[in-house]
Amino acid sequence: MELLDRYLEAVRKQLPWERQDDIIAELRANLESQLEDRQEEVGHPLTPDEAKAWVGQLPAPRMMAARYRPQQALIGPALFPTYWFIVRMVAMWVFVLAVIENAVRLGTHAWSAAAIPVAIISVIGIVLANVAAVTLVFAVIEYAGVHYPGRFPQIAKITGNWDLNDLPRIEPVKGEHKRTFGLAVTDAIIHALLLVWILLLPRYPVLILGPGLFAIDALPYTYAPILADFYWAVVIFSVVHLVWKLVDLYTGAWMGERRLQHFTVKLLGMIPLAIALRAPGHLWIVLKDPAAEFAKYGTQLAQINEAIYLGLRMVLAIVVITFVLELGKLWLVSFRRRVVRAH
Amino acid sequence: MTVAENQFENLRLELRRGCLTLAVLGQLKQEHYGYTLRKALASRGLEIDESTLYPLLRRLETQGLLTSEWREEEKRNKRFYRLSADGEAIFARLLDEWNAINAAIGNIL
Repeated sequence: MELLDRYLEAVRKQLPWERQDDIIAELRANLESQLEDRQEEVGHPLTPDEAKAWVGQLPAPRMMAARYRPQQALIGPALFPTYWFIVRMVAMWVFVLAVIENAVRLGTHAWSAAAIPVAIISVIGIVLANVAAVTLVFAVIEYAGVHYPGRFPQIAKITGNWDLNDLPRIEPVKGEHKRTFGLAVTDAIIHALLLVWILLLPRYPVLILGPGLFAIDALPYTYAPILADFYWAVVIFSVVHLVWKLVDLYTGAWMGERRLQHFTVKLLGMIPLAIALRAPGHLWIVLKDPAAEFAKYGTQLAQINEAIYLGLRMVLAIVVITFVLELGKLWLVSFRRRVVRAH
Repeated sequence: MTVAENQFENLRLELRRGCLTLAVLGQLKQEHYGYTLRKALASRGLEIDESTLYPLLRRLETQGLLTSEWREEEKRNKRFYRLSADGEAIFARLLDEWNAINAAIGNIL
C-alpha cells in the first residue's frame, strides 16, 4: 500500500541512521499484519478512503520515531537538580560580577547615555555565555553517563552524594526574630563610642593615622576643604544613626525587624560619598605651598588624586549596587509571600 | 482537553508505564512478534499503542531482558521476541514487587 510506504518513509527519516533498516523492516511486518487483519474485518482490500482512515489512526511518524531514540533529554532527570542548582549559582554570581565590572567601567571612563544599553547587552551576553557553558558541560556528563555507564561510574554518584554541612540554615520567621535588649544596648554604645572617636579626629588625628601621622606631617601635602564637608556629613550621618537607635531603645522598637531603618541608613550613608565626589577639580589632597612645590610634586599629586577619585567611584558603585540588590531581594521575598497568601 | 483531563491523562500514563513493562515481560514467556503480542495483550484487556509497544520491545532487548530472532512466517520476515534468562529473573522480582504494591494499595483503599 503506497500510503503505508509513505508513512514508513516518514518514520525512517527520523530514526538513527544505523538502525533505520532494521526498525523499518520490523515495523513494516507488524503494520502489514495489522493491515491484513483490518482487510479481513471489512472483507475486501481497503478502498482509498478506508486506507486513509487506517493509516490516519496510526501514531504520528515523529512520535513513533522519537520513542526509538535512547536519549530524549539533553540533561536527564537524575542530573537535572544538580545542573539547575549550579546554573542558578553561576548565573547569579556572574551577573553580580558583570554588573560591578560594567558599573566601574562606566564610572571610570567618559560617561555617556549610549554606554548604558551597551553595558546591559554586555551583562546579558556574559550571563548567557556562562549558562551555555555550564549546560554544555552537564550535557557531556549526561551523555557519558547514559552511553558509557560502566566507564564513568562516578558520574552516577554525582546526584547521590551530599553533606550534612551543606544543609541550609533555618532563617527566623517574622515574629520569631530574637534580639535581646542587651544586644540592642551594646549596639547603641558601640555607635556612641564611634561617634566620639569621629568627633575627636580633628583634634587628635593620631587616632586614625597612628604613628604614620609624623611621616605624613613631613610630606608637602594637606587636605582639601572638601574633606571638611565630607567629615561633617559623616558626623551628621553618625548622629542620626545613633539618635535613631536611642529612640528605638526608648520606644521598644529595637525588637522589630527595623527594615526601614536599615534601608534609610544605607541610603544616608551614600550622601558623604556623593559629597566627597563633588570635590572641585577632583582634588582631595593639595600642596601646602603650591607656588613653591608644584613643579616638584605636581605629577605625584595628580596621581594621588586620580587614585582617590577612582577609589571613591568604585566604593559608591558597590554601595549602590548592593543597595539595589538588597531592595530587589526584599521585593522578591514580599512578592513570594503575596503569591503564597493568594494560594 | 481541559486542565483536569490533561492532568488525569498524565497521571494515567505515569501509572501505566511500569505496568506495561511487566505485562510485556509476562506475555513474552511465550514467543511473539510485535503485532501478535499487541493482539494478545489487547485480548486480555491491555491496549497498547504501536508507538509505545514496538520501541519498548527494542529497549527491553537492549537491556538483555528479551531475546529476538528474525524468522519467516506466512511468507513474511518477522522479528520474534521471547523472555531471556535474565528477563525471567527480573520478571519474577518485578512480579513480587507488583504483588506487594497491589496488596498495599488494597490495604490502603
